[in-house]
Amino acid sequence: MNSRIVRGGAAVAALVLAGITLSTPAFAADDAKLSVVHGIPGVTVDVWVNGALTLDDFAPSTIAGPLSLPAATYSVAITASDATAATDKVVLGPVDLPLAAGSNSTAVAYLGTDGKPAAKLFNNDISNTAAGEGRLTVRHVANAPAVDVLANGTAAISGLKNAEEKVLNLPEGTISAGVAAAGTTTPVLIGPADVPVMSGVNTIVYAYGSAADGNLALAVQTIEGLSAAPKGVPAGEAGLAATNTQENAGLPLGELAVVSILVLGTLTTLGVVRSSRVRASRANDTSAR
Amino acid sequence: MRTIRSTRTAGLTLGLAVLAFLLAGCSTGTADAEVSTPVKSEAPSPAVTSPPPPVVPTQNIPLQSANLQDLKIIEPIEPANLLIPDLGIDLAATPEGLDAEGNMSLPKFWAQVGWYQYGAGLDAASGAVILAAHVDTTESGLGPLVNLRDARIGQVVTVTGKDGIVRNFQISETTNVTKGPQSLDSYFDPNGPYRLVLITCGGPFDAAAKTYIENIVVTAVPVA
Repeated sequence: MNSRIVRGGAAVAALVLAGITLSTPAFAADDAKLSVVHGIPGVTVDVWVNGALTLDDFAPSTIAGPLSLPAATYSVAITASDATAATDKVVLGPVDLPLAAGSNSTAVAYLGTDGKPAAKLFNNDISNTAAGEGRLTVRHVANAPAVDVLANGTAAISGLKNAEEKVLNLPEGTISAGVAAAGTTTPVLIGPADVPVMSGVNTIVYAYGSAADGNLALAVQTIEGLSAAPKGVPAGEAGLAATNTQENAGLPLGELAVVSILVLGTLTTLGVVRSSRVRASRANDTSAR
Repeated sequence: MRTIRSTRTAGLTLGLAVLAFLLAGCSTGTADAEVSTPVKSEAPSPAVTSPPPPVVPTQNIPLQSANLQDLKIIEPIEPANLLIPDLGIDLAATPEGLDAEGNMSLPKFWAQVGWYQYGAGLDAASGAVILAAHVDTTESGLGPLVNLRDARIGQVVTVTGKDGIVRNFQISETTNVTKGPQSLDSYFDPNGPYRLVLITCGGPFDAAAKTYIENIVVTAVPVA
């Protein structure tokens, strides 16, 4: 399981019209990261941030972002796609989105259980995943009763309600995911569909749409680069490349060198003494001759 | 590692053009910024009623489909061979993961180098392609990766992928890392620039624990 994923499908036109009006400098190190997910079927909208048109003709089941924004509270309004201002033909809002420094969040436009458009700011879990593990976040943003999320046919998440989420950390792999009414496994209301669990990736699955309208569907967002390093790399076991010697493994190299010099020095001194004695005795011998 | 490559389109040029108008309107305090919404001409400019406050430069906001079926799985490019002529290293590569203790698993003998499959593959957009092998084993003695301790900055490292394509890297850093919690985190960081990281063991050997005290880590960057 070491595959990659490519996001394909039809290219979506991004249209960025206006800067977001603020009084603080942009792009600080502790900027907040914000994504926007459109989970209301059948309605193309405009998104206005602090009164400025930021996403034009934003289509359902589309993700925008992530944007890096200075930590602040932003006023977001969603209007019909032919609106001329943030206050014209309002679908939703304006709502205040407080973005904390260093946070990573997703604002979702979705249907509440009353069938009306709603918005919620979800905080995305970007803590490190264990080496070899991925993260699966499931968000219920559909006009539907509580559901169970089935993984490979059995309930992995039970009783998830509208506007709620659940986070699972799982080994890398692929899950056959389905959604059924809480307490049931059939009928499967959405899916089953293969959802990848990737090492170091938070795969966020949105169940959106309306049960009554028969347009329940899954949308997916991914956040990469969360993988923790392995505990270590134990890559030797015999000591044959050691910079110390195995017999004196506990003795630091410097001390070894000092000991060696002392031993050698002693031997040399003894040798010199011995040879001088030899010479002396020879001299004596010579003198004796 | 499975990663996501997205289809992204840009509105950057338009955004910056608008920004220029907005800034012009800001500095002059006039209503000239009326033209700042060229696409939605019916939209009132923020500069009409009053000069706008400072504006954050418009960003290229990536837009992509959120449809599950638009996620396409492709295989990463696995390394097949590691060659460092200057160090006499020429080893086949094989995928590895984790052992039971959460360490990177390695080929049993030093005749193969392990590729960390939860790290980057070749030609990745970011992150480290990790290749690691035993410096020695009790059964097979000393292996060629002992020569990593003689690695020098600038030496060429050649990695052939399973796609048959030969990729050259140049050594940019050699270091001994004392083993310990999180000691290798920065080398495994999935968010850094695309690079090659070679790891083995070295330094003093703790005979009682049968382990080296250090990891030898050699980083190499792609050669254009």
